[in-house]
Amino acid sequence: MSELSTRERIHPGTAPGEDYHLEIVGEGDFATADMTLSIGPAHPATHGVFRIVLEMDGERVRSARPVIGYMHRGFEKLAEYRDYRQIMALVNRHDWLSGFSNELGVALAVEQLMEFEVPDRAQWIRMLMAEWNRVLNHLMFVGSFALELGAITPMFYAFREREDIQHMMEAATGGRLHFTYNQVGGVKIDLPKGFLRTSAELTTITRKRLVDYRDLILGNEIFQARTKGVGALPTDVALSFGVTGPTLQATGLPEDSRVTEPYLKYGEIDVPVPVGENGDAFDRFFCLLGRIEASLDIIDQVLDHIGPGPVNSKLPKMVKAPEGATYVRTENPLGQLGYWLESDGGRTPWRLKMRTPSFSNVQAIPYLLEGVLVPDAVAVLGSVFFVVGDIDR
Amino acid sequence: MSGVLARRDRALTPEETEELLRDRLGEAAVVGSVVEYGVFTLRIAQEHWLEAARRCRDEPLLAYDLFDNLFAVDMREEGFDVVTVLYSTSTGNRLVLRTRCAGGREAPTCPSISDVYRGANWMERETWDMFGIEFEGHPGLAPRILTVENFEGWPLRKDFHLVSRGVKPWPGVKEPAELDEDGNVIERVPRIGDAPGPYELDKVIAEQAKLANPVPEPVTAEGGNVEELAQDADLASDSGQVLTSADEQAAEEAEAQASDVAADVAGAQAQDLEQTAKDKAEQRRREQAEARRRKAEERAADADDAGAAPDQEGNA
Amino acid sequence: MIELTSASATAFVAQAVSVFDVGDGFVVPLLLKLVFILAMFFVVPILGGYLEHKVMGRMQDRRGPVEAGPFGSLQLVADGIKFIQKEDVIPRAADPWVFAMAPGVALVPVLLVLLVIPIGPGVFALDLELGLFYALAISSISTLGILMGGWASANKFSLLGGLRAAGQLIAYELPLILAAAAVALQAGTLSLVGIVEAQATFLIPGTDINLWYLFPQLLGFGIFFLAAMAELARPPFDMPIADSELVFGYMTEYTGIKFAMFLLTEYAGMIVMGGLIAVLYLGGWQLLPGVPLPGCEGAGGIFDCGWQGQLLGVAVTLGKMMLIVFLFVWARVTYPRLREDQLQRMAWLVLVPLALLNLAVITVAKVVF
Repeated sequence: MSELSTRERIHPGTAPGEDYHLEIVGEGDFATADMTLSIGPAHPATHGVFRIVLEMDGERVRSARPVIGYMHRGFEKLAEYRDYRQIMALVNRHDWLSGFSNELGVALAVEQLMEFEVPDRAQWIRMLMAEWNRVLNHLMFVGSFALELGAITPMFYAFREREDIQHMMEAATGGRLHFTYNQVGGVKIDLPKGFLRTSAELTTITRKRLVDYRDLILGNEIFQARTKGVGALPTDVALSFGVTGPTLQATGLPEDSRVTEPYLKYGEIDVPVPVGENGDAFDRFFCLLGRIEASLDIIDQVLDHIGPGPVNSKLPKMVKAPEGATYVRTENPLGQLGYWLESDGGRTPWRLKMRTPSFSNVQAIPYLLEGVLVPDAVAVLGSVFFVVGDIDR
Repeated sequence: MSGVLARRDRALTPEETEELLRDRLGEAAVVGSVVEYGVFTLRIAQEHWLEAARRCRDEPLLAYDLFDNLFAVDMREEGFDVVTVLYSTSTGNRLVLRTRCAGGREAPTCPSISDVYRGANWMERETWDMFGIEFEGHPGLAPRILTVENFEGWPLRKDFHLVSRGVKPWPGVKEPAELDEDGNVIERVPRIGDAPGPYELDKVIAEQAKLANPVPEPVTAEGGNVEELAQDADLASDSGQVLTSADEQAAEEAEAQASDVAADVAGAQAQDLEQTAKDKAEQRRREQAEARRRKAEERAADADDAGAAPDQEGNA
Repeated sequence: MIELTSASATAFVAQAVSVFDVGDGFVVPLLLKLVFILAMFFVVPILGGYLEHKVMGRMQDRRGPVEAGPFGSLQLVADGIKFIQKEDVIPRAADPWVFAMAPGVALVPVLLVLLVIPIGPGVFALDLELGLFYALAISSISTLGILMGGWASANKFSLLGGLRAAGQLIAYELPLILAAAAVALQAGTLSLVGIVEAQATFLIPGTDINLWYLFPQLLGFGIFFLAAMAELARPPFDMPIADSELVFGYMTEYTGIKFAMFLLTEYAGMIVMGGLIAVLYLGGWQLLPGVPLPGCEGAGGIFDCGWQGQLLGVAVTLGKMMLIVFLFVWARVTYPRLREDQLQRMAWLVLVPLALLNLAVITVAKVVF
């Protein structure tokens, strides 16, 4: 039996042009071949248009090849055609779960190039919003990771909290996902009346409900059996891939831009960084929950520090950055977000390179998937937190 | 926490880092250095690029273990720069290495550092996808990682224009880059990457569109299939395609002829409302339409009419 | 105890008459039984499904269905109508005959099991001597339908789902049967009506306190419950479906009415398993241990009933079924899914030895007392 006919026998109805490399094991009637399983681009476990091609022996994954780019929207090119104010509305879209944090990086980079002094209150507000945004993002992943392991309820609970927080942020910014609240030199408008009080109340409520998540998910025997020791990532490999955020912290390294390279006013307050031990899926989830709590702590501290004052500064009629280049790295919810902003002195950036955390994190997935079972593959996919738009930009 | 910052005191200053790398790689390897906005950038000669990355990772005093970023920057006529950003989790230092690609704008190449940092693999694939820079020693740049497989061109190069600007001009008088603070037009010698004016851009876009979607040659009425022509005319008028000026006249002619013929064919079929509306525009059509209405019951007569119509058109 | 059992056996023979056996004719009882089975098959699963929707909704901080019918009670009916209207797609690469037959092969055994499940005094279609054996044997045919569907879909996800289902159902068949065997052993009969009667007359040795088999066989109940959940592929044992891994497992390629048949298999399966558990462990239609139903006289107060007693008996059994469904739903809402190998390990290394132990203990107890 020729190889071609074997292939057709094993993969009936597959599209032409798919690259299989079949390894035939055994002889005669007992000959078997690896199965190629294409998970995605539209698969429940990929939450977005992300595809991963698995070469499988039974249910065991022999190798994995992520295929990305289904959602490439060319933000880096688009940014070169928009001036610095317009970019704000553009960059909060690549990672749609952390719109505010994305804007923040660009705002900081432009301000750095223009050597702009941002009022204190604006900086505190930015921190407050960034941390709430982080809580929003992490709650989403708390729900979705549990959902991928088959627990349906945490998703609903997470959305209950998210709804409250989004409602509050909508009052201040007018947006629920794409806030566009930052601008060069500060934030768009001051906080509405009662925002700080609502913030304080919500931290209490959210902290109380975090206990439920710990009980329901972290304390669950099946959850532990499914995640402990699954997809363990050594620290050096993680660093070599450029993996950051909760996925890196789970390996035991407390690397967090807010601590190691403080921006805004993070240097003035205490930023707790949760760390794991083994870098496995359980630790990643543990760090995720820990980061929510850390964010709530930070919000409480910000509420103590925030004072009256202006929230933005008068900009020149034409926002122009002087010639030069800078690199701003901020701690996005999913990891470290870097913006390389190079200007030729014009109104638009000459080059805006986005270093998105998801892109680097997803690179580590083939390493983690080698030799695991399909259910574990889903646990790995769910615990290396990524947003597809953040990978493809 | 203290673990992260413990060696912060022993971190090398930019000058010391530069000195160390000059010592390890040779004087010629480090072309220049600059610290701007707190970012320390070292310019590396291209032949030392791989070695420099390896040294940065392995040298105990440097220990740049976190691979942060790799990308390219269009440097106009001078070609392309490849930039990589490294970070040390132990010392808290950040270092930017920058090198100029060999091969200018035509065939830019750069050594790959994917052996040194795993994360460079995809970053280099992305850079190749966006700029067309060949990374020597990379395990496999193709298939294109972000754009579609059969995409042509290198989208982030400055001579690749944003198509959406051609389809819908920027909602302002001029491109933002062409005005200074007071609204006066800045006179500049055009360089690669300058936003072209609306008309130049139109031309460029039209060229690109023509390459991407070649317009089929319109078939002339003589000897052409009548029904095909009618279909073509319908397509052209419905789809709202932007026709380039070069083809415009020919297309218009073809459309005019085709719609004439199409009207007759439709008349023969005695149905199409849209066609009758067109008929009203011209006297000859109206007469034919009235004749058609009178003969509506007689199918044979209709068939005669249909047979006659193309002949008339041919004679005309 | 042994004497008691034989005495109850004689009583049972007198009682094994279905209420549907009216007159001497053949046609009328047959029609009545058919109506009864179909009602059980279509109405009670909808009841269970509605319970699932509502309970899940409440547990997840939402309201569940509210639009269709009063309090959303007709949601599943509306779903059924929707499924009928949908296009019936058969993938080009599929094996059309096997693909089309699979939902039926999965569904019909569940229907057949309903034949022997008694839900009230005399309210059953058929009282087989081998009722329990028949129920367990027939219900395992469903596996074949699932495997057929998984294989015939020509879809890798379906195939994996079908294989997982086959492995899982075979593994859990064993503890299920072993646990049920212990009940049959204690009751001394395989007839489901007989088992209910045996429970109504079972007294703790040395006392006159009546107990259901739930208490002496608590371990067996746990095993049977877990195994039933796995047999039905309900979460946390839903690996054959595993929507985040295998899209929808063996059901991935199914649409319209065939998909609805698979869904009905699941819900009717819950009802059947709930009925079996109620009969085997929860005393059937007995309201409380030792409390006779009003208007009933025979064998511990659950036989020879008037129509009030019969109605109440049906209500009690349905209530117990719904209780079991509630437990199924509770587990589904709370737990993530196990991994396939963890599931197999649990079946072979935990449940089977425990079931054997249970059987041995019951045997010894039976001989001693």
